[in-house]
Amino acid sequence: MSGAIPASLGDLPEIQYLSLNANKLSGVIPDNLIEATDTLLGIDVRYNAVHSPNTTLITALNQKHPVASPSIDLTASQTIDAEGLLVTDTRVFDVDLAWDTVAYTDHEGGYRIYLSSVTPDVFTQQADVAGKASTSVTVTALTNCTPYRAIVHSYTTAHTGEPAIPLNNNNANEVESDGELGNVVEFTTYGCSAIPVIDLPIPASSISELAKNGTGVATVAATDADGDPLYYSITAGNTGGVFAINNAGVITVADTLDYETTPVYTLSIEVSDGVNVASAPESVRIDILNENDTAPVPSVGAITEPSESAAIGTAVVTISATDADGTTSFIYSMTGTAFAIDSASGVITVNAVLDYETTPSYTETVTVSDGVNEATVDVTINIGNENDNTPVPSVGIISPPSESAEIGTLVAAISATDADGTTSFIYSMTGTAFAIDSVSGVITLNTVLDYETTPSYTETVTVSDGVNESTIDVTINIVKANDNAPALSAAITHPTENAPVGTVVAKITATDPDGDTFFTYSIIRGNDDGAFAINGSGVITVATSLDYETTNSYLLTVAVSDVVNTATIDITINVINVEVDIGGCSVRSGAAFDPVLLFWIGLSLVYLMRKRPIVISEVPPPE
Amino acid sequence: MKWECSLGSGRLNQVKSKPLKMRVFSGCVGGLGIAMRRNSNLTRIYLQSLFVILAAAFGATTARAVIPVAEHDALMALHSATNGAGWTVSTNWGGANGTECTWFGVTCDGVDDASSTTVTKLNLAGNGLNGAIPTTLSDLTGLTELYLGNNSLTGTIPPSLGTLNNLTTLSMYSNSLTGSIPGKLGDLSNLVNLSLSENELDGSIPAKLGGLSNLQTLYLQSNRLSGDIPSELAKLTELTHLSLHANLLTGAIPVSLSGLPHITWLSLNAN
Repeated sequence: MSGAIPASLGDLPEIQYLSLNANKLSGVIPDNLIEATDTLLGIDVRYNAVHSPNTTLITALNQKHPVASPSIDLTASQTIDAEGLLVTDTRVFDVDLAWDTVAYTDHEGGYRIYLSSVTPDVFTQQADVAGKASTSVTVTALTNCTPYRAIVHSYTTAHTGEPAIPLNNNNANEVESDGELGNVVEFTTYGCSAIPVIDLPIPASSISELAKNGTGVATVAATDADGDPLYYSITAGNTGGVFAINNAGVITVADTLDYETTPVYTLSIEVSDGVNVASAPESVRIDILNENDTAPVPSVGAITEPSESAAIGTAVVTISATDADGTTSFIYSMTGTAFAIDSASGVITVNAVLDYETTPSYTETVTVSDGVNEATVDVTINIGNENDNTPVPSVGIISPPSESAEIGTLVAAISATDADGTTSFIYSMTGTAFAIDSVSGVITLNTVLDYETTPSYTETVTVSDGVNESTIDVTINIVKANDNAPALSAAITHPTENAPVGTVVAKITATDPDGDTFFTYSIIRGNDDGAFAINGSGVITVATSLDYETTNSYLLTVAVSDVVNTATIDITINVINVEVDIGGCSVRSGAAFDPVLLFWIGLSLVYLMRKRPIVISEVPPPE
Repeated sequence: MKWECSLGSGRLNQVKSKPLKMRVFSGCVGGLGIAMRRNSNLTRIYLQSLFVILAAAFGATTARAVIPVAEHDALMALHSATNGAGWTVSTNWGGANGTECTWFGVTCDGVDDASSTTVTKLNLAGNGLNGAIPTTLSDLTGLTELYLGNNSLTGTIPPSLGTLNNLTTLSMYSNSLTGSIPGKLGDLSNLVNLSLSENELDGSIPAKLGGLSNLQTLYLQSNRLSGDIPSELAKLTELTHLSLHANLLTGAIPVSLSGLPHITWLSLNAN
């Protein structure tokens, strides 16, 4: 039952016996209950969480109490039974107890454990377990191999703020209970006198070095005549703490094993019942089984650098390996196809035609396997270069020589390149007209030229890198010299005045010792008023109407050029008078061509003709 | 004080190992001790009562009256169901028809009437009965008092007992009865004493018990009754003894219990 004691109970007119003890009643005992004490023969409110500040009431209740002395102090802490007390674990020197909570609606409280180890019971109080919600405690410092009886009470804190009445022993109601109202549990601590006995010898065992944590390895068996629980421990030999032993004596893997580090363990074992200890030093031998659990360690031997001309199958380098697991045979493989590796011996050989110029160096990855684990190593193989390429010549500059050039004149320069990287070459050439410097490739004139005899040479230049050679044809055109001015003559037909424009008055004829056949003509002086014009053939014609009465004679200077050299000739054109009387007027013949215009046309022609290439090129001009 | 003392003697005769019952044992002995110290007349009253009962039983042994067949069958059913062969005392049980009123513990009405009679009282308390109570026990329609306490009865309380309208006393304390208290018992309007204590009854206290308007003693202690105390019990205005201790009752003490003007014994402890 819970809640407060109803005040109405004091109204029961004939009540004689009222038993409310051992509930979870709380709060203040109603003063009204004193009304019932007239008829009451017995009342019991113990083992609740009730209290009262009313000394008159407490005195009256104590007088009716079934246990007259000592009386109940209802002004301070009250204890009531906590139910469901259980022993959850018993050990050598301590015990775990648990119980159900007691629900108080007010006041903080806790639980109080009492233990007795004698008969009849003499319960002694253990430390309080504070907190109303507490449900368990571990009682320590017990004596081994001893039977105990335990009870638990709950308590509330003193009801402060209310007058304390020094009536009785505060603990009186707790002692009185002596377990009768609480549930008593019994237990016996372990660790009795018999010494555990370990079953010896313990068979040797073995375990793979790859075993996972928790894997069972061996079992240590032990017995105890008292039936005490036994506690197992590994006291020596457990290097690295790689093994654990539980209290069933089972040794399990607790950390990573490594045969290569520790191939065998010899463990010392102790078995204890908490008091008595049995030892079995160096009693458990555990062999670690080697596993292929480490990767090979490859190494690269001395590399014999292969020439690019190396034959297929030429050995280059040997890859070898070692393995902590003791493996001696490995499987080799590698990337790429330029080289091959023997899967068993690790010898790398040339496997393709090499070309330094294409790939001067290879870096391949070699994989070494021990069948389970593998490792890789990068191998760099440099290719030896060979002079296996021919030079590639080219004509650097060419300067066509004049036929009058002096011996030694620079004519051309030949250069060469070589894929092998060669930079010095040996030059030679055919013929004797030119000479080539064997080192620099510079071609110079080596003879007196004569355009008229040999206007062009084509010679073959040979370039050697010492092993391989190649040739190139060089054509050298000779530049003809133009060093004479044309020789001029004139045939003159004197015009009449009024001669039509276009009437031929003169023909200039030019000849040239250099053989020039193309000339330009121009009237450079005396062609006042533009009276005459001259064409590209040296023909001078009337350009405007001549008038004898105005000018009866012209002194013309005609210039003729062979482009390089210019000659002049002076000619005199006389105008023949014609008198025609037409109505008293003299009519003059008009000039057919403006001589000034003709002059500019002539100049233009000269200009145009000069634009034409006159140079000597390496390509012979068409016939 | 008679019923309390009778119960007290019953407890003293048995040995219980269960801690729950030990608690009750202690509490009641304490209460009884106080009572006896304070009123020495109690012992005398108890012995006088016992003498009267025994005298009545011996008087019935001379009767030769016929009870209804149903009542005969009901008695034989009880004998059979509770291992009559193992009873401590079974004098005359199984005798010829017409001898029922001489069987041990059987009391009939109108024993001087040669023609017919009926069983009015059956007292087999503390007689080693072992087994379940037959439902047909309710065929003893003339019963006014039924004492089956301090035996080894098992099973549930037949609700049919609620039809025994003449019952004034129903006592089945200190057995191993299970299940809940039939609400049907609330129909026993003439009941004065009801004792079902020290069994293994569970469930809640039926509110219908508030209908027992003549009830003076209600003993339900030392069971596994749970839940609240029904406020209907306040209607039992004739009640002098209410004993509900050593159960699993929860909740608050009903304020309405102050409506019990004649209550002298109220035990709610150990809940």
